[in-house]
Amino acid sequence: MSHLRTTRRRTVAIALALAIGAPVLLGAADRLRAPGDAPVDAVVRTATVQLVLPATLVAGETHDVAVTADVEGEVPMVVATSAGSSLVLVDVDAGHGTLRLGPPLTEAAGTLTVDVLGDHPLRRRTEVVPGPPVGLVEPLVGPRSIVVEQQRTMVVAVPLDRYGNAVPADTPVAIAVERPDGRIQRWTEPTDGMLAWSWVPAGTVAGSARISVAAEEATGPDVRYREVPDVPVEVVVAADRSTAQVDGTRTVVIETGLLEDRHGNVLTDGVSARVTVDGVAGRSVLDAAVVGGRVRVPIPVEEVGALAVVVSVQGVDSAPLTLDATDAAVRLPVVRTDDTVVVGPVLDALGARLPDGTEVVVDLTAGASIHAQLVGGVAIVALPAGADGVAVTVSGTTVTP
Amino acid sequence: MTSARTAKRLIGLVVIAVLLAGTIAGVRRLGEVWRTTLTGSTPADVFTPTDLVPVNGSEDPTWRTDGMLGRPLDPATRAAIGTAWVESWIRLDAAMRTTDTADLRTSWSGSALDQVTGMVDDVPSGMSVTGHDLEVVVFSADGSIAEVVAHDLRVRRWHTVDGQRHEIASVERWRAVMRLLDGRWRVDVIRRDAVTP
Repeated sequence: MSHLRTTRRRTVAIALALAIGAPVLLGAADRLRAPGDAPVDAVVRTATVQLVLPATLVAGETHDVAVTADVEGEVPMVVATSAGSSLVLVDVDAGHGTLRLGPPLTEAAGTLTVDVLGDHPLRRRTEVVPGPPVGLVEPLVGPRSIVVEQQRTMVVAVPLDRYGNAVPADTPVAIAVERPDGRIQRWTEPTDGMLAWSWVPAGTVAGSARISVAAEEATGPDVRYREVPDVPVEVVVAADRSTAQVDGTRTVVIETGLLEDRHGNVLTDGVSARVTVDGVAGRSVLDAAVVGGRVRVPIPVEEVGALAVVVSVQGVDSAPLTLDATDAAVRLPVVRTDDTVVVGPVLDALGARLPDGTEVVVDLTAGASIHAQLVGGVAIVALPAGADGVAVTVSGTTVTP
Repeated sequence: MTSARTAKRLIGLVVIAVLLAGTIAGVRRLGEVWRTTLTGSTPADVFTPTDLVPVNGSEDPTWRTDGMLGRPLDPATRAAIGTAWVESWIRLDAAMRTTDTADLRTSWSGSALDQVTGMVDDVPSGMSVTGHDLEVVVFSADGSIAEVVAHDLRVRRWHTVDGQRHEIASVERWRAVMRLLDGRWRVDVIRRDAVTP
């Protein structure tokens, strides 16, 4: 009897466990399903769904769409917008349900479509209209450097609504430009497509300018650009002296006058220039730059004879500037011993010793040459054994001891 | 006495049958709980063929006559804009498939990045975009901003419902503002302008 009671208790216990456990397990599995795994396949295959979307929605608006279907359960729909697509399960009860179209589904402006999945696919569409411009609208300006009266820059503005949508076409965008001379110009451009743009031609005064844009309540920072001078009207070049001694170390400094364009704008620092020097030894070209509205560059004087200097700035050449490079050494004492030549002290026209480093050339009769430099106006040159006659040249002057 | 024994045997058989059915059902459900909890995928997902390489591919876009250009659109810039446009869809598709949005910022910026990031669901889905027929309607003078219209894009979106993949196809026109940022063209503002059918 006791055995029978125990068996009955076990049977009851097992039956209770199954009665309680199985539904719990079934429910747990259902609760852990992701939306995409919802058991709606039967509905998908059979549902015939009707729904009507409004013609337009304002971005961010919430709208409940009435759904009618000939089935019960969850009807899957795909809502696609400018930002992507989402699967939405609409509960249908007694043939009726509601599709809630609200943020984030309605945040992106543009065409919104609802596709009902299944054997009876259905597509409905509506237009999500962007809201008014708000927040920050930044002028996008480029190029940032334009030549006065010759070039133009472009300003582009992309006003956005609170959800980051481009605002409706024909939204007026106010553009304001402060010229380098302080004048302020204002005009309006409507958005076309997703943005508004406008050319901004340069004025006649060089300097820093700035642009700002605004679209209704949306404003932003200013953006600066430069209106830079045009090419110089002329390039006038002068030297700090008209003659120069060729002593191997000295230079002539040439400098242009103030470089201005036809509107009186002084050329800005850094504009490149080219200096061409034609001398006895040939042509040399130096690169230079405008600093303080002028080009200033030292030219080494290395050969006796005439020099012609031309400065070119932005394609405008100066008239050639002629310089006369003359002998520096007017007194050149040379003393020859058996194995040395003593040169100097070498004096210039002023009676000053030529600077250190001035080249001394000792030509041997045999054809070889020995090069040396003056130090304190003097050079002592050792001769090779058996050297015969010599000729000493310093700064264009030659002496044969 | 015999009838009582027979009745007991019948009851025992029923109990055993119920026990077996319950055990099988329980194990099955436990397995589903285990699988759903740990992987989030279904056997149907596992055996549904998917594209190893995104179907968008690296398609070369075609180009319509340009609109207002602030400067000539040189071939290299045109190619860069076209490549960036196509890549932006490939990256969006990858983000939808993997639900990982980290790579979107390589091709998307500004409000468009915020919007597409916000719309990537927790549940994998995907989209393929082909037939890129592009028109540059505005190109800024400094070459850093372009407004592009993509005509007649062939778009396929797919979502999985109860392990079954559902695909939606449409032909769409899109419009975007693209910006050259950090040396790369990115979709900065975007709008789906029209859908057919």
